[in-house]
Amino acid sequence: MIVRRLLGILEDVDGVRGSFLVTSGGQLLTHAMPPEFDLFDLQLSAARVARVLGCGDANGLHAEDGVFDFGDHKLLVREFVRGWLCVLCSASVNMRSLRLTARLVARSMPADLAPAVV
Amino acid sequence: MKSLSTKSGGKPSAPGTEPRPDKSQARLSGIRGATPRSRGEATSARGTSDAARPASERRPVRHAEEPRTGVVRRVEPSGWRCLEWKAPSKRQRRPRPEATTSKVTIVQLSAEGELIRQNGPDGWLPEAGDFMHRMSTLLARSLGFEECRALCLRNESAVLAVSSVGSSKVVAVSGPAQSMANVLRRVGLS
Repeated sequence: MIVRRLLGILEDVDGVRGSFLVTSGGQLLTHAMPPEFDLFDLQLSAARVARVLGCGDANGLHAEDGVFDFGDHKLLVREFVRGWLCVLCSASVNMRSLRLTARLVARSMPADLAPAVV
Repeated sequence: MKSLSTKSGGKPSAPGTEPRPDKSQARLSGIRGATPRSRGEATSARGTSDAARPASERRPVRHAEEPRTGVVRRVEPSGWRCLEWKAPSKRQRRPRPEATTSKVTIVQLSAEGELIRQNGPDGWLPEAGDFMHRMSTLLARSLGFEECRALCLRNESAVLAVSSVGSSKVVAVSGPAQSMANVLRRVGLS
C-alpha cells in the first residue's frame, strides 16, 4: 500500500504517465501504469531494463540513474535498495523536478518489498 | 667612448652595450627609419668599437640583459625592453587536456553492430554499446514505442551513452562524468 502511495507521488510531476519497480534480476515488483499497458509487456520491459543496466554493471559502470529516450517519451530509471524505479514520462517533462522526486521516492522505498503484481 | 646603438633604426650594434639616456638617443631609439645622426657622429660611433678599446674600458657582455625573442627593441634608460614577443607555438597556445580526453572512449557502430571506428581505452564498449542499443530498442517496443533514440547511464564518476545517428549508425560514448557534461545536459541528467 505504501509503495502505491509512493509511486503516486511521482504522478504529481507534470508529464509523468506511470511508474514501475524492477528487481536487479529483472522481476517486476509492482507498477502504477495506465491500463493500456499490458502486464505481460510490463514484465518483458522490466526484464529488458534489468539487462541493459546489468550490462553496464558487468563492465564496471554501476549506474545510479539513467534515461531512455523514445522520442516523444522518456523512461527515467533510478536505483533503489531492491532494484530499479522506472518512471515513464513525456519528453517535455521537467527533468530536474522529476529526478528530485524520483530520488526521494526511491529512498523511501521499503527494503522488504515482495513481488505484488496483479 | 660612447657605445652607440644607432645601426638600422635604433637597433643596438652589440649585445650588452648599455644605452645612455641622453636626449638625442631617446629620440632616435625605437623609431624605425628615424633620421640618422650626422656623418661625424656616425663615423665616430663606428670608429669606437668595443674591440678597439683598451681592456679596462670594455664593458662586460651581459647576455641576460638582452632579450633575443623580441622583434622590435627599444633602448630605454632602464635597459632593454622587448616590444613584441615571439609568437607562441600552437601547442603553447592551445594546450590539450590530455588527461581527460584520453579517458573518453567513442565508438561508432553500424546498424548491424559492426565496428566502424573506435577511439579510447574502453575495449568493451563496442560490444556493450551494441547490446544496449538492441536491448533498448526491444524495451521501447515492449512499451509501445517505435525505437530508443538514446540511452544514458551514469553514476557519480562515470557515464555511458548510446545513441542512434540516423538509421544506419550507433554511437557509444563512455568516460568520466566530468568530461561528459554535454552528454548529461542533452539527456537532462546534469
